Amino acid sequence: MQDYPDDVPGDAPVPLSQEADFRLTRLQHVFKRDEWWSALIEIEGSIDAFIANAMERGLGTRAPNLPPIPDDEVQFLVPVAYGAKERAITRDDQPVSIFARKSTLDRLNVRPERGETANRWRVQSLVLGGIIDQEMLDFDAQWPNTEPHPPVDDTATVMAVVDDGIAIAHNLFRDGAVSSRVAYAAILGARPLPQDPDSTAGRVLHKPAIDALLSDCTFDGLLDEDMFYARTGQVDFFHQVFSTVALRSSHGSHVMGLAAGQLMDASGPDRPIICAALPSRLVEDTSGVELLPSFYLSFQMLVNEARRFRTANGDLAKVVFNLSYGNSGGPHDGTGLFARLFEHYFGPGAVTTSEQQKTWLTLPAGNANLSRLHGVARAGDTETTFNLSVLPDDRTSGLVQIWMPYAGTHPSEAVIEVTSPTRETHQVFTTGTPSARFNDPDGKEIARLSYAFSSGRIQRGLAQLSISPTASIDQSEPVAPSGIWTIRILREADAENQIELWVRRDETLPGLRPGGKQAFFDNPCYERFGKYGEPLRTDPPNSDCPVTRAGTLSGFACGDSPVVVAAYTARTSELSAYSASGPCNRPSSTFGSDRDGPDLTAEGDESVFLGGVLSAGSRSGTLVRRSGTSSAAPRMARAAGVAIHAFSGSGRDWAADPVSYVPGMKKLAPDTAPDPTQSGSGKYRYAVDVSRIKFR
Amino acid sequence: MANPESAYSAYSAYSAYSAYSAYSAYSAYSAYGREAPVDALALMTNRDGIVGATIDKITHPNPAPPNDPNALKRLSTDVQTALYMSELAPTVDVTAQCEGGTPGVTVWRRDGISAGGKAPKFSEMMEMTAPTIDQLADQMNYLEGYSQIRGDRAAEILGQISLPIPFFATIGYMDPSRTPRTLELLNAATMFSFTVIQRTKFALAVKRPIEFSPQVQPMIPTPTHASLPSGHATEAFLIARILWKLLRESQAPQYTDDAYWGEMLMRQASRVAINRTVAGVHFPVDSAAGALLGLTLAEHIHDVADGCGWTSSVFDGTSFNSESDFEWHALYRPDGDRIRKKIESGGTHWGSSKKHDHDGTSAAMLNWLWKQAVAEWRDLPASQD
Repeated sequence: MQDYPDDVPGDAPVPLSQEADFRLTRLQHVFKRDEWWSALIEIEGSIDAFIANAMERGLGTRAPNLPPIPDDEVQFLVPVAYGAKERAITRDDQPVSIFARKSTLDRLNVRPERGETANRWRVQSLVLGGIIDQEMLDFDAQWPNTEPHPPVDDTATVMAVVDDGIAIAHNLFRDGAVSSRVAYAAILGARPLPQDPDSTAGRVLHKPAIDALLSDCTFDGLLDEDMFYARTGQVDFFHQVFSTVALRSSHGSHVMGLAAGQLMDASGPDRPIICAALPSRLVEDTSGVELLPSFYLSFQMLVNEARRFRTANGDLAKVVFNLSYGNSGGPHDGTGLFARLFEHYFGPGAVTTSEQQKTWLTLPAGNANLSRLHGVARAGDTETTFNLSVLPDDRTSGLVQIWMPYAGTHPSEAVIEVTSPTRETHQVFTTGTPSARFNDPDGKEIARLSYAFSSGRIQRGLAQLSISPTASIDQSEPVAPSGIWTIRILREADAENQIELWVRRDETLPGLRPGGKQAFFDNPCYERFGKYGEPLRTDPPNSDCPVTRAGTLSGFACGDSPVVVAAYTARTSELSAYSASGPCNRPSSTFGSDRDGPDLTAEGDESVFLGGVLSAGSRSGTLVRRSGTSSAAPRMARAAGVAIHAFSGSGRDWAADPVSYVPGMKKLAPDTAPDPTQSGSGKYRYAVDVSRIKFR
Repeated sequence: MANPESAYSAYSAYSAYSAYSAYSAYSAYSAYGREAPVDALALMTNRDGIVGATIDKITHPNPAPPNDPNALKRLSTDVQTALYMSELAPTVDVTAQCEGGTPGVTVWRRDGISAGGKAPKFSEMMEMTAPTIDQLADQMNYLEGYSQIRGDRAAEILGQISLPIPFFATIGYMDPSRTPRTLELLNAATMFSFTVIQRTKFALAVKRPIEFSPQVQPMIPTPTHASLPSGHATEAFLIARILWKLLRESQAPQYTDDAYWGEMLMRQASRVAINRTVAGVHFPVDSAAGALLGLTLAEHIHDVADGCGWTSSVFDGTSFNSESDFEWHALYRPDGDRIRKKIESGGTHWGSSKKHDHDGTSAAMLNWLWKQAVAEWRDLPASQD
């Protein structure tokens, strides 16, 4: 039984990314001035060829190696972090983080012709990031400096941190009153300065500039940090630039304190710091935000900078990256765009390989274990129903991803049917029907059910349900009904492998006034509590409920190479209840990973009631308490900074048995068998001695 | 007939009650600055019992030293405050003017301690002009931005609605038993500054942020008086500078080695001032004007009390770069305890100051108070064995 075919009017082209199209067509973006957005595109061929082709087709851009054009003719920008040499490299598919006007994105976001792998812009896939104010962009950015730094110790490890508000002036990141250990800080949300032209977005501070600011802002022996962060551009209230360093407790400061914090007068190991602080939200965007383009750009910048560090004998210094972010979207099998990020930069086929730089990456396992964001339609079940609870007064859009099994050997068909709270029903079929729209009584779209096949490395069908906010203070904006949206998956009885569903975690960037409410699966069969009223940390044995805790591992963390860290509670030595678990989504394509869950587990909480662990607050001389696998991962990054010298294999191999390479690291309950989907090779204690404050 | 036991327990309940009220009467009586009489009826009946016949030969007391500051320590705090006010209040006058549509106000300083009944002469001590509506509208961006940290600052803001003495007491070790004169001095200083602040606000009539937008929605009620100068900023910098002066003059080693105590006191004052912008009741430029006024009045009070010289200052609100935030370092250096001669920030020059020598004698009572206050910060000499 076919439902209506996609009701895109006339011969409007089918979007490459339905989710991007959904967001770009929300009312607030349709009538605004042609705003700038961040986006991540996969292109075919070289960046130079992409640019040349786009220019030929009428899209203007600026770059140091292109003839200048007037500002108002600039339609897109490829950040200067992609240097001249790199732009010439041809690849079958390469992810590139760009900035582009809405009108340009509308043009790029078109599905390839049948039989083609890329559209006429050479674009294979597109992920929409977030709006960026044009004032944050430097059209005249120049190529970044690639000259080597003075040599570092043989035992040095460059610690690279990507996060939100990072208090780079905290005493834990200084080795003298006016001497920073931060060699490089990319403040992606700051307004560019004419005297620092080496970044397309935001501002880059190198150590000399940081030290000069430390000097300028120190009076009578005390550093005025409010002034410092105003001068770095991290906090600029006049221009509505916000960073969580304006608050007492900031995620990035806490993470970096654990990963690389050292007491100022400690003679600790050489740990130069390079970091990227993600941009804050400038404009209230209720269509939601995706951080992937910012992650790629951050990595691009930090990888380039890391290559400037060499030891005295000329070898590239070793690097540990920590990215304490998780998400719930993606195929969860190692083929997703984020999972590929590490391979793209550090794998055998990495773009910048003239010389390999030994690099490990630590990631959090994610905190969605109990969030009811994950469901499965099992093989053998002809009909599976999910009650998606969409909350009232939810000011941001919601998204559910429904991933079909790997199409390789056993293609699996299905019908996905969605019924709104107002009893309107639409279906999409894996055999056709790109999309179906839910409209409000005035005929305006308020939800979209779409289906497309993700070719390339993923080789899975993806159905998506995008739902508009359920409330808006703008009375002309169409809103979706709140309540239960029923998702029914219909399959043949002999269909193989599971269909996996994930509700997107409402991403929030610092500065966004909270307005989103997390939608979740509210199936009656889901048992939340045990017989004593305690939240159940694992699915009850033999449960056939389609909503599961298993499979909540962060979508970012499903690749082969990163060290994925779960969290335990010190007092009980048990996994923290929120710590997400595997397995990953198998079978998958040959590009998929062999991961089952986290690699190892570190402290995330002191006790059930004293959650979190202590690390740097936003101001010198302060410590704050924060919880989550975001706090567990950087502790292992710190350990990795030691192990990466002694251990010759990959980070993941090290994590299988980490203790012997890190003095002071201890395994808890060493005789317990490892649990690959829950705690990896086990739980490890590793002290981070930043919990002493010294006055003067 | 009442049960003997219940009569007993009623009696003990009564005595417990009167014991309690006697205790509270005692503690009320000994509480700092309060007077609570013991029950007059009790005193009357008590007198009847013990007065006896009039004593025949009785020695007269000596006369008290008149107008002698030495007697101040025997006065209750309210009375002391009134006396300090009587010395301070006549040392200033305030006039308002409006030139070319720009409101201005001048705080004048009387030359010499007392006019002795003759017509006094005054010099300009602080001149302020108001920023324009356009500048204030521009500064609304700060209200918007700072509102994002209201949650973080809420407890402080509520605790700083009243005088922020408890916050300064975490830096300068103050307590009614330990530093009663210092607290009395600060009380007199802030009480004196209150009328000056209100007069200057009234003269300039700068509107509050709440009048510029329905989206400010301050987290505390907006006071009814005008916005600039900020009273909180004035008081906070006044308190901070007087404390710093006392610390320096005490010559205790920790206060004279570098100026980090002064730096910390000023950081505290700045925090109080900026919290008002977070709360949504002040513009950053209000804090700039208030800080300069507070620092100037601190020097004035010090000169009246102890003859150290005084500073005149100018605040030109029309020159303040409306894109700038309030940064106290532009105004004052704790090291050397001086207001900067040229005050600029955000690329514009919006203030200035000039030092003047002391003229005339110090006010006797304030001088006594000042010296007593300084002594509270000196290390105690060891007692002889």
